[in-house]
Amino acid sequence: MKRSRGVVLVLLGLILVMASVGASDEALETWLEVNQLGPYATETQDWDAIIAAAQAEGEVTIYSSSSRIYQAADTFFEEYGIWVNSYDMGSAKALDKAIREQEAGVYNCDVLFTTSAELTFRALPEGLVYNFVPDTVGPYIPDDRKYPLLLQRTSGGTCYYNTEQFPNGPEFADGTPVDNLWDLTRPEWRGSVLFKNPLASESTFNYMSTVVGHAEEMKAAYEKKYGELVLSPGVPDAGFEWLYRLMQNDPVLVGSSDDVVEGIGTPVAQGNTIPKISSFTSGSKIRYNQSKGYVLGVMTLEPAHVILNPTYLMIPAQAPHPNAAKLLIRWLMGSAEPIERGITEFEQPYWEGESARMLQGRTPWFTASSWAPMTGYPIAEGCLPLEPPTLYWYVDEAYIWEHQLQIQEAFIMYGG
Amino acid sequence: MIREERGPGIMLTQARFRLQRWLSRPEKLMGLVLLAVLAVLVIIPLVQIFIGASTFSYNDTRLVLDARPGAWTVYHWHRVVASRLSQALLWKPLLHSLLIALGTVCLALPLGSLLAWLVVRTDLPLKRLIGNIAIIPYVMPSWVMALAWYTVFKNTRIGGSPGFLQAMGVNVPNWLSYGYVPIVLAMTIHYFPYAFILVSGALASLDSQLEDTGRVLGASRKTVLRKITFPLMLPAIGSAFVLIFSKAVGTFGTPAILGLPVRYYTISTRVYAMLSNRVEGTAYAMVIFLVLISALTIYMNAKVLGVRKKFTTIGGKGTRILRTKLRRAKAPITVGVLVFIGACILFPLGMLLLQSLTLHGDFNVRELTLDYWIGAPGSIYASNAGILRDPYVLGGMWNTIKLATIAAAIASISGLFFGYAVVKARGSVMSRLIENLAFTPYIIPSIAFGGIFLSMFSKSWGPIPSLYGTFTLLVLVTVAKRLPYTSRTGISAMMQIDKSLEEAAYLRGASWVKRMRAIVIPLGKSGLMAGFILSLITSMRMLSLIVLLVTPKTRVLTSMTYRYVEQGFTQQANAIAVLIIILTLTGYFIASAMGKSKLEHIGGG
Amino acid sequence: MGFISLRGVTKRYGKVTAVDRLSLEIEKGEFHTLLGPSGCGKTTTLRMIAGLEELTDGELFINERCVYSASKAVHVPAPDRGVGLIFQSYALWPHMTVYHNIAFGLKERKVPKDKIRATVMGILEKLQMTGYEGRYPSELSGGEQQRVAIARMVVTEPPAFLMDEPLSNLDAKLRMRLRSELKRLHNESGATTVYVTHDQVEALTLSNRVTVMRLGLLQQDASPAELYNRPSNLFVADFMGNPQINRIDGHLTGANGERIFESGDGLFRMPLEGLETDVEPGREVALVTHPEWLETSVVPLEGAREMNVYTVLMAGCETLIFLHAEGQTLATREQGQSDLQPDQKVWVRVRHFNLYDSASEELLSVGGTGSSC
Repeated sequence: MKRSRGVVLVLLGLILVMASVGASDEALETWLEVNQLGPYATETQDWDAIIAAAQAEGEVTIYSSSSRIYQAADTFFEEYGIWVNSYDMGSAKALDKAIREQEAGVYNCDVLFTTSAELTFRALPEGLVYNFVPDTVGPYIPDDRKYPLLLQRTSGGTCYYNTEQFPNGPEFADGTPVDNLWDLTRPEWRGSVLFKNPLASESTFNYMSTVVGHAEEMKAAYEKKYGELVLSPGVPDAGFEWLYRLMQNDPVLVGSSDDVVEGIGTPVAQGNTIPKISSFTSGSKIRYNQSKGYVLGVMTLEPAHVILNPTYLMIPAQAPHPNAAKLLIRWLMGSAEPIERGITEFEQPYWEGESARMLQGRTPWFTASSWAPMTGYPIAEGCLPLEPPTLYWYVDEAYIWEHQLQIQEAFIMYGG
Repeated sequence: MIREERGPGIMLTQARFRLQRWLSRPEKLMGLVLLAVLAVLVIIPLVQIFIGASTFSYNDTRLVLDARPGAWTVYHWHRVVASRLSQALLWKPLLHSLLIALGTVCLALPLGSLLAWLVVRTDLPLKRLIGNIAIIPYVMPSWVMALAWYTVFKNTRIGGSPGFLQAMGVNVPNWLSYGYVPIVLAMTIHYFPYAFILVSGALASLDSQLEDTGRVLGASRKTVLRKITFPLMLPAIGSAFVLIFSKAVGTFGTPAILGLPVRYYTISTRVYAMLSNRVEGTAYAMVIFLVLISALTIYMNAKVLGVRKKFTTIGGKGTRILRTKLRRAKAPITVGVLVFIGACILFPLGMLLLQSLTLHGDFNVRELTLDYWIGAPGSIYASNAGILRDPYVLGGMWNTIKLATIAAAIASISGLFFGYAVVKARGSVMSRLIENLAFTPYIIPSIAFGGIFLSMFSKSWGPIPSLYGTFTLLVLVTVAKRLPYTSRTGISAMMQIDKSLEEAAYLRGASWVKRMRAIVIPLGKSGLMAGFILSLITSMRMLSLIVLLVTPKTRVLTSMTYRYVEQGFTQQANAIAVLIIILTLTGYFIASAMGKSKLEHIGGG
Repeated sequence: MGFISLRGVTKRYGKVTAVDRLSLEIEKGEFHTLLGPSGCGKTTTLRMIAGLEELTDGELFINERCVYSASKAVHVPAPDRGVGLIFQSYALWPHMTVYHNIAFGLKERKVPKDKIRATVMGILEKLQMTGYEGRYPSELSGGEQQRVAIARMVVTEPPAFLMDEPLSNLDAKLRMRLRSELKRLHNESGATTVYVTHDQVEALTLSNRVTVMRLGLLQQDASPAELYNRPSNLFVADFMGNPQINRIDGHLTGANGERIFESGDGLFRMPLEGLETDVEPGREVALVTHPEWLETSVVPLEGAREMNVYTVLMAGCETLIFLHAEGQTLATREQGQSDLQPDQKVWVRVRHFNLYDSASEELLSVGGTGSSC
């Protein structure tokens, strides 16, 4: 009968679907073995084979926290003829989508390029993503920057002000907008501190958590400038107290770091007259001073004015284009040539000639507030050396992993 | 006489025979299939979400020491309702959601009713035109108004270059720039056409002889309005209230755009934040609150006004409508109405278009550029080409059209099947069950519905495969959310078809497939087409339903705009918004040209 | 066994019983009418015969073949039962032309195209509807639609016709004309016909046999004449009234074979003559007559009762006169036109009557001096 045929078809469909779900474990193991990832990872790679395979794959998909991926993708295509589907999704969404796709057994993403404690502490141990260290740069990267995940760069989060609104700059004690992180919580900056919604941004959340995590230093900084710190009721320590007071100071939450720097850096002549400052925001946005004509300045603050946040590269499990993914990772890391040749400085402009040839896919991130993981690698003009680490804090992922939800709760509770 | 034999064997044969006979009726079999579909699309999601809210997830183990993933717990409920977090997480946002919904209804309903009265009950000229364009603000995405508001009323709070008004030297206070007031106003402009559609339908079927009788008996115009017209209209107004309220209470896009700078959160924006941070249990508990509120309003409406619903059947066909003469007020009222509706359409469209043409998004008309539309790659900072040359945008546009077309086709055809199963089995428990279940998605706010599907299809669950990241999932959620509308279109289309028409074919030996093909579908075609176009429009403009579900590969224009808004790429966001408006308006004009569209089924997304 | 045979046919919808243990034999070639008020189960019965509804219980035979039996797990689908059906609404497909409406059944039977054409055109000619084949149903009048519905039914030459109130949507004149057409159709085709109606005149004029139903229960299965003259119970009697029956409640007295009827109010007292079967005295009874079973006179008659003329309704060929006295109203019929005036005194006598038991409402006996008609 016709009816029963329909029923059989539906049942058959369901069985097929269930069967395909059950088969995924085996598929993963095969995928790892074939592509030499996870337990089958090797110290060195046969790049000729990988390039040939990558070109056969023809395309590669990357989920990125940085919009600059588009530029790197273009140069990658020029170099290898492999099309990059670049998706700039912001740090939180790149992670969220990649993890959910993994859990759903949907394999779209070949390279994940973002930041989050969850990568190291959950995605990697659970086998949702795999580390890949290209042998071209591997030997020049200290172990803690390539294991468990390969660091593409460390980027600084900084606090901005408008140099036209405060022409004397932050270095002059009296003319600075502020010189202490606690100043952001003062009444004179009520309704005037901009930052990105940390619930929508992993990097901003990392910045916030890092300040919260340095309770001792925050306490000292407060007492150095304002005397004894009295904690508000229910607040556990000086770190949370800062977050509490910041949130009580009517901060302006925006959706993106571009919004933050637009709000602050737009020249006075364009009508930006009311002084605004920011909490920690991607330091690389200082480049808009050239490209968009902003007048951003970076504030020097006690106890820290730069927070260093790691951005990793990795391959999600069962990526459909693993060879192109490896090649793209190698491209984004840049070549080791400057280290091998002892070059300490690239010629400007970085996106042309020899500089571009050596920087490869790293070019867009060769800016201020951005540091490559390779020891002895040059830094861009305007980028301060990381050593000695005065006023620098590293994002402590272990701390964040442990306290993430607690800080999230606090942020919400305090009015975020 | 045949003797009836008894015995266990016979009984079994008989039972099997009865079951076989029952199943042989196509509407019953189809009813079963639809119930299964509804179970997957409506019941299981609701159960899933309840389970999600009542069990520990992996993430909870990081905050709660003794939490075991999958174990039952009241933790999330407690956290949402009675912890130190609940004030910020639930109660305040809940209050905001309710206030927004209430404010929106209180403005949109009188506005829509007034317009309905003018169009239906007075000698206002250009009725057809006004009736047609009045719908347009509702056809456009609701968050478009929010974007447009931003461009005009942006003040110094978020710094940067000032908004349109501020640039003109007007000091715009915060309450007018961000938060409650602009959210309500933007949503009012979006929803008053919905009120207009609902109320004008009822007004048109109200026999004015009832009012005339009152006049003849000596009551004044005002008394008639108060004592006769209003009470008769009350059920229609009541259900319009509920329909708008339960839509507005869960709106996501507008509060997300206009609320953030002043940290004005609603339940839907909170749910979005929780879900995108994978704090699922808490989010699901909040979703259940949202669903309960909508369900409660509908229940209250049915309770309070339900008995009087019979009123609406008064009159019906062939009613005589007496049109009030506007006399001297006619010209100014006509102009006023046209200007108001025109402003509601052209203001957002114009603002978005203008801003998408300016270099810095600052309305500096000396720096106009087409780069954001058709610029070559690299001509805009940090981005690709202008949107019309950007493969990502074009890909998103293709996805949008593909999604809308496929979803609308499936929705309208399945709507016909729903109609068939419900109408053919009218009066049976199954028929009622199907009808009510198909309406259920209406009371689940889009963002919550998206959230439910996210949880449901993120992992495979029993026989249900994981569909996250697939195009199928987007189609599925769209079709499911459209069910209340498409099933109604289908039911009313099927009501028009007398069941004897199909039986007559059956008697002549036509198989069920043949009957559907030769009789039912040709006769239901116009309803099918109207349902298709309306689903097409709404599927193109929806954001909150799919914002949690889209992945890069399945991106659509609305999710891209939202991403651009989040990123602060104003011009690109606006240009794409304009593109979406053009797409939906094209669909709308095709629909109204076809003339058969039943606009009350247009719904939202 | 009849051509169509119903045995204990029962149909329940949930708790509502639409048809209750109905057993019926419909003979071959018979024009059989199912008659009753709305909700009596007549349409449901027809639909069960057609195969559009399934029996809850019982068995159904058509042409000596069991077409449905739950206990024997037999079900013959409607198209294979050899019946044609006309719906009350005609159910003409509005999106098909007259030609395609009629041809549909033949196409389903894979009849060759040229043969279909010949058959359809032949039928149209017979129904005097040549030239209408290209029209759509909405372009036809009610009577024309009815004819197309008939054509659609007969085109496959089923041995049995089922008709569900086919004339109810037509105006009075057209109805009369189509009645005769239906009767002729039946005579010519010789097909066994089951006809459903709530109009007792229609039932009487068309049928060989009539089944009266009420609340799903069979009330009487009889020839039209018997149904009119000897309704088996008060319900049937009342339903057969045209326009109404006269009912006088009272009780019986008398002895030695003489039976006297006394009305409840004591004003009507008459000896019952010609009783077909004896009824013992002391019973509470209802005396029922058709209007034409009464005799009126402007001068006093023996055994007659004095009443006043209430209204006189002249219908041309006959006149209906309502009489009134002390809370009792009686209707009487006169051939042609009457000279009676309102409030005029008249004497009324019962010529013929049926006697029903007041409690069981069943027919006890019939009697009277004259013939019943």
